Amino acid sequence: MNTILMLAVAVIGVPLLLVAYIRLSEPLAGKDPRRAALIRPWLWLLPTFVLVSAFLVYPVIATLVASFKDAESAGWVGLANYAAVFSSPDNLAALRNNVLWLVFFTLGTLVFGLLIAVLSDRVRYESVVKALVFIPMAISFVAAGIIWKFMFEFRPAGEVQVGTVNAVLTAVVPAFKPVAWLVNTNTNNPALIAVGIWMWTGFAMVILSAAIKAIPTDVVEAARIDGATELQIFGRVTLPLVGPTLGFVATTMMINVLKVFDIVYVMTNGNLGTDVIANRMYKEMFNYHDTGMASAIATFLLLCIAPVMIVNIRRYRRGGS
Amino acid sequence: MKKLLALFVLVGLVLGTAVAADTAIKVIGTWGGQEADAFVAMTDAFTAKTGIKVQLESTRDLDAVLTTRLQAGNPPDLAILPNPGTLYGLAKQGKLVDLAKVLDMKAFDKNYSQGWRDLGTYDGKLYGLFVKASIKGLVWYNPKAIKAAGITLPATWDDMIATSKKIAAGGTAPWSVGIESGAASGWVATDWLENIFLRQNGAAKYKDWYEGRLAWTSPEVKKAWQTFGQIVADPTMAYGGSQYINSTAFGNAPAPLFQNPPKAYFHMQASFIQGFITDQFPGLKPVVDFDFFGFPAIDPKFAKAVEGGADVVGVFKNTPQVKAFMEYFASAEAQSYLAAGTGGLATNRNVSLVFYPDPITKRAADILNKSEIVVFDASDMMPPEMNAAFWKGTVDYVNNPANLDAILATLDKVRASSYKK
Repeated sequence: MNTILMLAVAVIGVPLLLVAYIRLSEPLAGKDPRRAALIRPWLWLLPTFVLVSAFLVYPVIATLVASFKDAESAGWVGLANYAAVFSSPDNLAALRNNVLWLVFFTLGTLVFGLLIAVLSDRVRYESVVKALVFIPMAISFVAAGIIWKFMFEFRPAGEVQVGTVNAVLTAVVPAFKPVAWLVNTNTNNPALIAVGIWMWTGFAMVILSAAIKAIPTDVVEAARIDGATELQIFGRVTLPLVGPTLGFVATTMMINVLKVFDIVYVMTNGNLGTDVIANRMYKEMFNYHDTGMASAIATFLLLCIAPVMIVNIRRYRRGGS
Repeated sequence: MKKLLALFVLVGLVLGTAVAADTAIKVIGTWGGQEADAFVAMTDAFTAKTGIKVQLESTRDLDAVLTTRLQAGNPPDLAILPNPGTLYGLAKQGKLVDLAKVLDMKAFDKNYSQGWRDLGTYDGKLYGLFVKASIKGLVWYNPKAIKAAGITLPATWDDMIATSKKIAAGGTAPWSVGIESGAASGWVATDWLENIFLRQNGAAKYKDWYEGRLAWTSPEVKKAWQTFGQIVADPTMAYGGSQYINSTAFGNAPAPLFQNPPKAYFHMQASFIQGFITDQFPGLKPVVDFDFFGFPAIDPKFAKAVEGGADVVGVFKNTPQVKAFMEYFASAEAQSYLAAGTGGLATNRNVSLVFYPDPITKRAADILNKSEIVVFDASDMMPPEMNAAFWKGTVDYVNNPANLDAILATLDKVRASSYKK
């Protein structure tokens, strides 16, 4: 009953509220029509500014302040939390893993996305392939983590393998010993990164596919007439023209990967060398109740992502995408 | 304009009445599945008697949800916490209600031993009601398989190792261990270490250990880990080796005991594993197909100690409805629902053994009621950061036992910072 009520209020009440606000703020714009035309946009933007300040600006400032305070946010500790971010062995391991994710996840999604976009470009069953590759984007990170956790299940050699990966490999590869993918320190990070790539390749592929289709056909035709092979067309025509889009997709993937949390949390909870910095922040805040440390990590993450975002926004403003 | 105003007033009125009508008691906890069903059966009986509804919100992420709701000033009425460490933390922050104001303390003292009362006390006041206990450190086995292999059940640790080595020489692994558990992976191994430590050093040193006065690098603690290593560091002793131990969820670990032919013979786990066994193998009968013996003695001085665990209920708001519910929750009648439904043991000593569904649980409940020394799960008593580091340390140890010194040194560093907070 309660939820239906809340839905009704949201669906009817919110638009009503907006209309009411717009009507009621008219008198504030004044009688002079030219002045009113100047003031009105700011009046209409006011609720947005209030909401953004309350939910985005204020928390950022509060987090920044909390990062200089201790665990209960009672006393100041200066830069001690930041020192711990860079010196605690747990954090250093997490940072190293984030770099691994940054490099291999971005490369993986770009390479596979581009490959599939190019290869499926003029094939008849293109839409089927693209749909299949894009489907993982529709599920949440948590669901993907749970699915792959089952897929990576391990049973000792000689037992019935219940994990898909081990089952397939033992059936197909002769004398293959089942691997505990999420536990073996050689395979657990690559396994997690593979799950991430599986999820996001669809996104890269869709955008790159659109970029490839935007390449004017006469350029490609001209190259063909000049005797270029498909590989040369790819290297000298497609790639340069798709360049800006590649840059955009790369930066978007980088922003995404710095925030990776769900996959690691669900599949290994950061055990055995798979921890990432967002997971550390969660643990510090919710398991150890150390607000200062968690805020320091959050601010550090923000500083890492900010340059990438600025690059993205500048490129978007310049109109290349 | 007038129509708009009228609409707003109408919406406001309807919303207001909907909010006002909600007087159900809100409980938050980690219980799900079987545990939640038993709890609901209990609260249904309460609602039938008093008309007050009780809503259980289950989440495995209790820490996160509670932290945010407390900071938002919107706590639930009650919380069922998985360990006393969380209870003490909340009591220290002043968020919990003194139970002397909620319960009839005379009835409480009749129903609960001094041990449970002490455990729930922080700074002189009672804040926690313990419910649904379990005994930790029971060694489970398949009686049919043991008989067929001609094995005699060991009474001491050295006997147990000798028996295990004989089984291993025959080609089968003697033990099945699984310590994976999502965010809490490693807690099974900490139970092993606690039982070993308790039987090597006694209850007083055990308390020093979980209160942070005993260093992890001390010889007593190191010896306990090395003793545990006799089981997990030797690849022939545990089924599947370290990879299996770290990747198998604790609920799936007894399975090798019940295969034909059995892949392992012994499994160490708390009393509640019974529910998991019967879930996976519905045809198995207690005592006939699965049974337990107590963790073997190491130092005969400390042979009669038992390690237990329990969930603890804390109260955030003292309303008349909450008072009525807590009185009911603490009573033998309510606890009998939990006893009958979950394989858990009642902390209320006046719950008749009749309610336990089978001879195994009855035996476990009897042991708990009659034990001389009952200590609580040490890792649950440690501060949350120490507890998490302990779990992680055992996972790392199973993965590479040669790293023990480095692992213990790291744990000592965490000990230095976490007990201060």
